Amino acid sequence: MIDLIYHEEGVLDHPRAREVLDRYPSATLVPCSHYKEIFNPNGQNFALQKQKPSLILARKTGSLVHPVPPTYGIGGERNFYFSHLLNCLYDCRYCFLQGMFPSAHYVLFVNYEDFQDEILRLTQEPQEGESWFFSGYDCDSLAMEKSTGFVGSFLPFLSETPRARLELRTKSADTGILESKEALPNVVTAFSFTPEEIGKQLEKGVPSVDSRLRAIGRIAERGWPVGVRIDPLLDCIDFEKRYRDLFDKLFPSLPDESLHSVSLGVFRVPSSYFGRMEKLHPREPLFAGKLAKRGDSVAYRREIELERTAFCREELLKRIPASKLFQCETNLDAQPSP
Amino acid sequence: MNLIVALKAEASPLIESLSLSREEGSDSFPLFVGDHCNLIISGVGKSRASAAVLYLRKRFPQPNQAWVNLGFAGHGKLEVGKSFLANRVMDGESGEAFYPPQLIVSKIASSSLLTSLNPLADYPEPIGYDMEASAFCLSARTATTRELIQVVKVVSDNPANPVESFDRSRAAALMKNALPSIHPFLEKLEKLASKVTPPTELLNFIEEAFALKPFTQTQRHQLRKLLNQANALGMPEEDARAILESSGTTREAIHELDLVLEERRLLS
Repeated sequence: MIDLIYHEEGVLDHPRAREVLDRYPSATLVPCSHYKEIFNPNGQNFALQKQKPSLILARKTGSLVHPVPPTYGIGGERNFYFSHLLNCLYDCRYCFLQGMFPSAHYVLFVNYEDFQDEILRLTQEPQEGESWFFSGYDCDSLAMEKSTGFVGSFLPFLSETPRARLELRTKSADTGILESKEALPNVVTAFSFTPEEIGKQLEKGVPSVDSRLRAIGRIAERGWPVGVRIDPLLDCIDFEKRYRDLFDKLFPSLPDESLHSVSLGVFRVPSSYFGRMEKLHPREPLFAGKLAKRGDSVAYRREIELERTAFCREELLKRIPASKLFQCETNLDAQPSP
Repeated sequence: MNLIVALKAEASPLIESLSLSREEGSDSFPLFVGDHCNLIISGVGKSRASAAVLYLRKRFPQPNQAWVNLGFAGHGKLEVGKSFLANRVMDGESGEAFYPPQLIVSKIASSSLLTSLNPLADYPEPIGYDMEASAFCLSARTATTRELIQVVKVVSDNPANPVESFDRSRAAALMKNALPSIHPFLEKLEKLASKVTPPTELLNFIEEAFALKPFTQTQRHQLRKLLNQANALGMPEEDARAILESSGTTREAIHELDLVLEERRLLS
C-alpha cells in the first residue's frame, strides 16, 4: 500500500499523475524538485526501504530508449529497452536492481507519450528486420498495472504501430488488462520462472508457478503470444529434477501456437552490484554459492554454468522447437583486448 | 538509539519515561544514557544540533543506530500538542532538502518542516517550522543509513497560538502528553535499526577466530568472508572452530574451512 507519494513540482499537471493520485486518495503528497533528490543520494538502505517503498512521480527527460547488447534478444534485428518504472513490486533476492539502485522507492515516469514518440521514431528508421522494445529491465511490466496503467496506455499505440514489437516481462499473475483487450501479435508477454522450491526461498511476493500458469492459459486462450523466461538459472540441490519438473509443468499446458519464445539466462551480476547485494543480505545462502568473479561480473563458476545451461537446453529442446529457444550469450571469461 | 533534543524542558519527560540517567563528565552537552538509548540536550539552533550529533557520534560510534531529533516546532496548520513526523526537511538558508524515508506505520501525522537560523514571525505555509532539524539531518547522515534518521516534532505554536504566547511552564506537560504517540514510533525505529546490525554473536565469533592463529591482515579478510558465508550456509560455529583449531598453519586453516564449506554451497 502506498501512503506517501513524492512528486516532481509540475508533474501533477499530467493526467496520468492525476490518475495515479486517484488510486491513492489518502496518500500524503510531498513535492520535490527532481526525483533524483530522493532516489539517488548515497547512504540509503535498499533492503530496509523494500519493506515499505514510497512512490515517486516524475517526468523522464533525456535519453528515453536505449539499445540492448546484441546477444540479448529473442530473434529481432534491433533491440531496445526503456523504463517507465524503476523498481519492482516483488523482492527477489537475486535481482540486480538492489545492487544497481540506491533506493527501493518506485519511480514512475508519467510521460508515456514521450516514450511512444521515441519508439515510433526508431521504428520509422529505414532498417531491415524487426525492432523489439523491452519494457521489463528495471521493473516488472505488469505487476503494478493497476497503479501505472502502463499496458493499458501502450496497447492502443502498439495496435497502430505494428512494426514495433514489445516484450512485457513479468512474474505477475494479474493479466486482467490483457484479458480485457483484443490480442496484438506484436506484444509478447514473457513470464519468468524458477523452480517452485527456489521461488519460495528467493522470490518474496511472487505468485506461485501454478497461478502464473493459469494466467498464461487465460491470455493464450485470448490469442496473446506468450514467452517463457528461465532466468536466472540458479544452482541448487536436486537441480536436474527441479528444473525438469518445472519444464514438465510449463510446457504441456502451453499451446504451441501461443508460445512465442523461450529464453535461458544465467545468473550474472556486475561485481559492483554484487558487492552491494551481499552487503544488504550478508546471511543469504545464494551469495555464498559456487560463484566466481568472471570479468566484470559475478556468476556461477564457468564449469557449473556450462553444465547447468547444457542440461536445461537439452531438456527444453525435448519440449520446444529449437527455433523458439534463445540463450543470452555471454563472454564473461574473455580477457580484455590489450 | 540517539535522541537529540534542544531544550531541557522538552527532554525531561523523555528522560523520565525512558529511565535515562545523567552521565557525569560530559562537559560539552548534558548527556543522558540508558540501556538502549542516549539523549543529548543540544541547545537551540542548527550549529548546536550539528555539534551535538558529532559529539554523540564520537561518544557512541556504533554504526546503524537510529538517530532522532525530537522537540517542539511551530506549525502553520496542526494544532498545539499534536506531534508530527517530518517527511521533508528544508534548510531555510541553503535551500537543501532532506527526505527521511517513511518506512514505519505510525499514528503520528506527517508534514514538511522548514529549519531556519532565526525564529519566524509568522507561518506562511501549512508546514512545520523549527531551528535544528536540517542541521541534524545533515550531520546524522554521516553516522547511519538515512532510513534511521528521523525528525519528530510536537507542535508548540501555530497561527492561533503564536510563539510569543507560548507558556514555557507548560512545555514539559506538552511533551509528556505527546509521548504516548511517540514511544511506539521510537520502538519501531529501534526494531528497524536492529535489522541492519550484524548479530553480536557472529561478530564475537569472528574476533574469537582471529585470535586462534596469527592470521595476516589479508588472511583475516579471507577468514571474515568465509565465516560470514559459513553463517549464511548454516554451518554451526563449533564446526568452524574445530576446523580452524585442528589445522596446522593459518593458510591450511583457511583452505580447510573453504573445502568444508564447498559441500554446503548449494541452495536448498
